[in-house]
Amino acid sequence: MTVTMQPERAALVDRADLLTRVDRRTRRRSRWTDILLGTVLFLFGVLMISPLVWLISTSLTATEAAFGTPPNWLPIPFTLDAFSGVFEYMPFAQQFINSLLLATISTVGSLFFSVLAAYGLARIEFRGSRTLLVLMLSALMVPAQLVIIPVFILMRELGLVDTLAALWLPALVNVFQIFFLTQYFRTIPRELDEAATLDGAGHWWILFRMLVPLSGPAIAALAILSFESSWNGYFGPLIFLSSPEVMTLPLGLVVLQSGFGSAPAVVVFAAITMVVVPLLIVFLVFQRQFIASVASAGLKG
Amino acid sequence: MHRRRIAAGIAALVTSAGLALAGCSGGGGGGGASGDADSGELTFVYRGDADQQKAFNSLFAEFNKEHPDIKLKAQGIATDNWAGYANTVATRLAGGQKIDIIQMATEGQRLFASKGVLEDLGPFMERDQDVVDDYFADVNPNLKKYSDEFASGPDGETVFIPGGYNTMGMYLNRSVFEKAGVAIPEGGDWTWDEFLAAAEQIKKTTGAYVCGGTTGYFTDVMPWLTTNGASTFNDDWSEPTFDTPEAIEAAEFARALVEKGLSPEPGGQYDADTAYQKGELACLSGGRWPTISIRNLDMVEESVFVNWPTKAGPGSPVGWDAWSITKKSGNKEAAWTFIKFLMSKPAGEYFASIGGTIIPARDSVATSSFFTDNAPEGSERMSEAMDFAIPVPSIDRGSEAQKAIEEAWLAILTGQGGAKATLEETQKTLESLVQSE
Amino acid sequence: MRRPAALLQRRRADLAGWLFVSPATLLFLIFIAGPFVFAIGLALFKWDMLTDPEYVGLENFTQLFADPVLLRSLLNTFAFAFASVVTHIVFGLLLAIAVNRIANRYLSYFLRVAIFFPFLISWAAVSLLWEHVLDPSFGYVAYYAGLIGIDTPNFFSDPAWALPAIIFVDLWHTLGFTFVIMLAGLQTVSPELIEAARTDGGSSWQIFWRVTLPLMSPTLFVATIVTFIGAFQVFEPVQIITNGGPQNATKTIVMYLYEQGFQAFDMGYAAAVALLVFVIIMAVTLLQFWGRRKWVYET
Repeated sequence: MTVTMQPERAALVDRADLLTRVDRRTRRRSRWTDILLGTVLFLFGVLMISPLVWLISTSLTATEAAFGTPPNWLPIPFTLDAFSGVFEYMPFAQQFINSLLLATISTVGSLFFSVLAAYGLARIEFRGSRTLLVLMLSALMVPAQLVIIPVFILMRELGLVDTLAALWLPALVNVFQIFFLTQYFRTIPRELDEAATLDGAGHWWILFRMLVPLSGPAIAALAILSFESSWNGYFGPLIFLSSPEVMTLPLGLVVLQSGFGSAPAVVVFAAITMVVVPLLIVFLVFQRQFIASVASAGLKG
Repeated sequence: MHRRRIAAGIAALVTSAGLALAGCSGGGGGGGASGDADSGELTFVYRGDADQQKAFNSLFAEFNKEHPDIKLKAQGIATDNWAGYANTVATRLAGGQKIDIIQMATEGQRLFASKGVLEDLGPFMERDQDVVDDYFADVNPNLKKYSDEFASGPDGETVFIPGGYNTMGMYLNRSVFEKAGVAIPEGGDWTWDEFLAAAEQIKKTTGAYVCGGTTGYFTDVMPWLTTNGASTFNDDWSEPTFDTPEAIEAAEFARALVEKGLSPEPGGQYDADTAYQKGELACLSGGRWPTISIRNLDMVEESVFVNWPTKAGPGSPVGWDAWSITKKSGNKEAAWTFIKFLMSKPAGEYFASIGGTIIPARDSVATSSFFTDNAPEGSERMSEAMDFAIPVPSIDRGSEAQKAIEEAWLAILTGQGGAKATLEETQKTLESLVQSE
Repeated sequence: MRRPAALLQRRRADLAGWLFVSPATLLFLIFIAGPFVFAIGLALFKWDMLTDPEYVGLENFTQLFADPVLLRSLLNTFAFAFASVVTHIVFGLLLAIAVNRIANRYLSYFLRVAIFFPFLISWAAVSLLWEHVLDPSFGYVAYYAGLIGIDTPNFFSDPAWALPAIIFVDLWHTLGFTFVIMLAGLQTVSPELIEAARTDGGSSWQIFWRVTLPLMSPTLFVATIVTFIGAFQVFEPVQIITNGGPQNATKTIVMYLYEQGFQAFDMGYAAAVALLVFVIIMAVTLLQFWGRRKWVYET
């Protein structure tokens, strides 16, 4: 593996600042360039969020005026009908719970097994650990689509097609997490382990009382990535899930739009809003962690 | 060396074990049981959106009144078209889901019949011959003929009981036509030229569109083809006929409607129902199902149903629902009881009145007040069209064929491809699909 | 006397090690390694999952080479992936540099949120939203373009515009990812080096090419590979908006795989296509190892 620029943990903390750190290291430039740049970028930012503004505004606009020409950017006349319509057309609450269950079980489960495996690989130099690691890493090249057909057949034999288990069971093994955590554990000094062992600590204690707490940022980053991936997953649900009550939100949204006698566009928009707005709120609260996790994952890549 | 042998050995073992398992449970082999005629659980899949699910659920409640010990688990699957529905059901079956009864329309019947996953209904029919005879005596003979000819199992056995059907026509918005000064066609018949003239007049005086711009296989491609004596396949569906001069002519006519701005642009999110209500759209095309929307829009009095405009002669596709029992059903007797219920006259009448989106198979019901009440004037023309309608050609690889046909039509309507070139290319695709059967 | 004890120690360590990795290893075998092997075997059969499988040997693989739709799908996918990489890297880098220079805290914050947030929204929601945004009759893009005299095409129904439209939607959706990576990479470029170069009389342009870019090469390289592999597997917007059309203009390789597996129900052939995807990704990953040595400037 190549040499990284900074110790893992410090890097993660640093990246959390990406959101707010302003680069003051540049020399004085003409104010006009600054203003021009600022204006251009501001307009760009506005364009970037314009689809979302249109989304939310249209969801709150009465059907006759929605999607009119010229486009409505303000929800006038205001109505919440589209939102109540969502509940008539799709089991939104149930699907929300499904998404939540799937993401939570996948994330907690995979992290648990990955932490265990990373400990074994990083801390206990046992015979075959290197081979195992290489074997698992090669799995990162195997695309999900290759694996999904055999897994579908397996789930069929187990009678688990059209259940959430078909989705979270395979998600319990996450090679990226194992690799990431193994690397991270390796940066934690072994002296700590040795000290603990002298005090009579066993593997379990060292792992869960010492290494895991020390790996907080890494685990948080992985948790966010895993959660986001499960929550937003579409391909897996598309293949496995067919009953609306079992579906997760992304699939439910698409079925809402494309089903026979499909919901009116405002209702579809309202449903999308109901998914996007909570996400936005969660993001604004946890932004540092979100950005840090993406940054570190990408650079690890 | 040693390791490689082991690896290869494991590979072979895993694959063969997996496929053996697959063969065991997937295949057309037996399995399933007769069960009890009057009790048990039945899982029934059908295609339906939220509204239709309400109607079906009412119908099932009626069934349960007579047969309280049979628990019906009905699953309405809402997909864009029958091809998507057929794929979804096939995937569910492949995924091991227990389904007892499958509702399938013409477009997907061959897909299932040819796979050998449907039970031979012959023995059941023989046992209850009187019920069956009573049913088919009341049904347009063409329907039984088509069902036997096209929807039989691999050994010619009957696997589907045809149910309600749909033909194609147009619902006209009276007030728009009046405002434009265009007369509603006498007896519900008019020609392509008259339609075009009406469309131009309507556009000029009221700015409203006429129907068109959509690309459904059954709802758009077939009506234009059949009214010019053409079709996507020949009589026995063994050869595609998508590039005949008549077909090209039909495609060009449909394109002309879009080009001249008389029909809405294809490929967008056009809300036809709302536009019809607002008077921005002069007609809705369809069979029975737009009646339900028209009821919801409160426009029954405003609307009148007429036949599709003709060129070479009257034409319409017909597609019918049919019910089947899966070979792997664990409760075939109860399933047959349910199908007998669906065949019965009271069920037909009930379903017609509560908003079924099909024309009842039984002629006596289709011409009765159950059907024509709260429905636009001219609704009886829908069942009369059975006299000249031809089944919508649906080969074994029906969903792929449907996709190719609809994509071609979209290309032509948007002007992306010339009618002749596009249809000729699609003809080749259809030929390869038919050959692989 | 010491040896047996040491050996026992070693054996116990081995056992402990294997115990810790066993759950993950077991799951790995069941859900990744096993299916991988099975897929290879499956590709030798013709099977629709409802009837019995039929052994066809290498026919599925020979069919791969003779299949015009597969070829089209591969072309589309490579085109998409390359376009995706170029736009993501170029815009991501430019934006990172530009946003890095903004002195105003509020503007900087607004930009980072605006650029990054779309990345967190599911592809499903993004596809449905953009289907409407780019709608020729009801979307606002067509309207405003019309105001300034541009007659926008019916993006998703036009074979020439459909794939570019999807590239654009993908850019909106995932630019945030590349942007953040680039920002992180920029922050690692030490200010002293920049200052030194400047005092040596270097212009901004030269500094960019000779100092910033080389120092950022690990970041750029990783971003390129990750973006390429991700873009290669694009599926959601294609299946949700265009369904592979119009006339196969947007059919990507994963879309084609899905069609073969779950619409034509030819599982064996779908497995063969999936294996092809694997081979390509493997080639790109191996290229990464080789290219890393050649192009990336390491400190």
